[in-house]
Amino acid sequence: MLGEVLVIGFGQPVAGDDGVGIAVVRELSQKPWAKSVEIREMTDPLRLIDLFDSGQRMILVDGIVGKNISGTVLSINSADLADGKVNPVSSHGVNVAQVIELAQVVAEDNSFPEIQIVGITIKPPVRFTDQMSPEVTAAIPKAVMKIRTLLEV
Amino acid sequence: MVETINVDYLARVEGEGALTIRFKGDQVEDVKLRIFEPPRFFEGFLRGRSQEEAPDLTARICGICPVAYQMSACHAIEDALDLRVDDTLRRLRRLLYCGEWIESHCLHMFLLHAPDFLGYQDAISMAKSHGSLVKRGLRMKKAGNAIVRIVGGREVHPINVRLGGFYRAPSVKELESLIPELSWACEAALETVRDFSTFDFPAFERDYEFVALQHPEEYPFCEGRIVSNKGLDIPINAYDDHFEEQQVPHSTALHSIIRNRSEYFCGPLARFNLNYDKLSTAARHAAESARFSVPCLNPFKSLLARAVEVVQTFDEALSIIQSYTPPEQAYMEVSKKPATGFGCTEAPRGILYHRYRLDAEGLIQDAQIIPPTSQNQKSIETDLYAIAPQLAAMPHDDATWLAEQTVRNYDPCISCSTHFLKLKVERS
Repeated sequence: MLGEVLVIGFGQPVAGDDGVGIAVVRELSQKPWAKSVEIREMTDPLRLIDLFDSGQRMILVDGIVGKNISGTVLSINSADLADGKVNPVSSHGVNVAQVIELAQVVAEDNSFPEIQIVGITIKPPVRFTDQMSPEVTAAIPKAVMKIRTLLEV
Repeated sequence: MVETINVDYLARVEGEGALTIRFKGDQVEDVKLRIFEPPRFFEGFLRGRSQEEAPDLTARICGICPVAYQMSACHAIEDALDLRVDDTLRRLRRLLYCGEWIESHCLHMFLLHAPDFLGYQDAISMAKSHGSLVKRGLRMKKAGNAIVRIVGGREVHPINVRLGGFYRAPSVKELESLIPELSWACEAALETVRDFSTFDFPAFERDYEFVALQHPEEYPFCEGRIVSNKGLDIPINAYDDHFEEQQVPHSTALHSIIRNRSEYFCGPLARFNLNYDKLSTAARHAAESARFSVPCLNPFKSLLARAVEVVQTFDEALSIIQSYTPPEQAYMEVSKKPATGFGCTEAPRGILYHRYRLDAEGLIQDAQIIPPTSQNQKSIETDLYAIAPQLAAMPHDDATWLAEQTVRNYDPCISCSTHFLKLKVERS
């Protein structure tokens, strides 16, 4: 059964801080939710495109390369992404922002779901490691709190 | 003359790597497809694990083609144990593989490769002008996802595959629910071959050695002999005798060659060239109507080979479902014994070889996994050597575009071979 809200953590856990989206939803899944919330992990953003016609409200969690210092938790909307103000990390050449934009382009009228994005700023991943930096690790509870707040709305 | 061209990011490939082309005057001095991802050590951590774990563990190598890893692992271990699954289970495996080919091919054709031919930087900009094409591709891909979900248990990293068959066989009702969308998709796939055949393919040919599985009765998925258009014809268990992996300083992925020869080309164009007579009537007619015939030595027409294979797989998927009777048992009993087994199946990008040495307790003592991208890596470099004179004569942006397109012909999955590509063209 589909949840009312789909929370998806993106990232690559063996690329250091790029795994923060996955780490956040794993932390989130430690506690049950009063509302019907479906939590997923996703490494390949292109997989997201298959979910847009589910009608589910989505909260997407991903590492973001931006101007803020590492470990800053941001609440982002699709327009921010379209403006290029922030850049989700991509390990496959296609990132979450591009997938959302593509889905919006081909979506039938009024069929596009409500999407909120929780971004955690990171530096571009440069090497293989399953260890995240202290500042990004410290941001995990803050991101969980942000999602909790969004889910209460 | 431009001395150095740098493209720091080559999009629309699966994975991360870099490309350097160095010119001396008009002559190409060096081409290196650099894959700098650290090795992932799957073969190492399979040692000591149960034979039963191999299909699920190796499936994690790739999110695009997990079924290929599951099938190669199952076939290799079943080969060691002298187990051959019955025809119904065999057909269910083919159905699952159809789903994965459809998913992977549609992703590459519509979102990654078609923008090259229609002159767009990416699928987003292409979708603004060719929305119906992209919508069609996404709907076709989704039909493949549905097959994988129902037969494999879920769309990504299927969980229903096991040695000897499946944990649970789908019901007739579950499979029949797929028929309406698959029937639509068969027509959509034919329309796609027609559309793609109108593209302007760069004039480029090379005398390739194509390598693929060949089966006496079927378009290849999981079984057959490994053959080439230059005389190779060997059983799967002779792979190590005829192929060799070479370490090169510039790549963490090994380069495969045919012993005492050189690079070879595996994947959809190789399968098409070597198995044309095994295509379904619908798929062969689609190719004929598109004037796409064998032998085809133009790697850019890999796009058409994929499109024909999508016709093939939708056609076969429907056929399997329409004749499906659930097996009495979802899997066959699996024994344990000390033995070595060999498996080679056709992943969407080409042959995927697995070898396992097992002990009496069914524990893996040694494993070897050779994915299609590392098998194609040397052929990609050789294509770039061959096309480099054209690149040298082109403006920077056009040269970069064509070099990237040349790499994308192979739909490389760099994450499999050990991920992202940077192109660096140096001229002196």
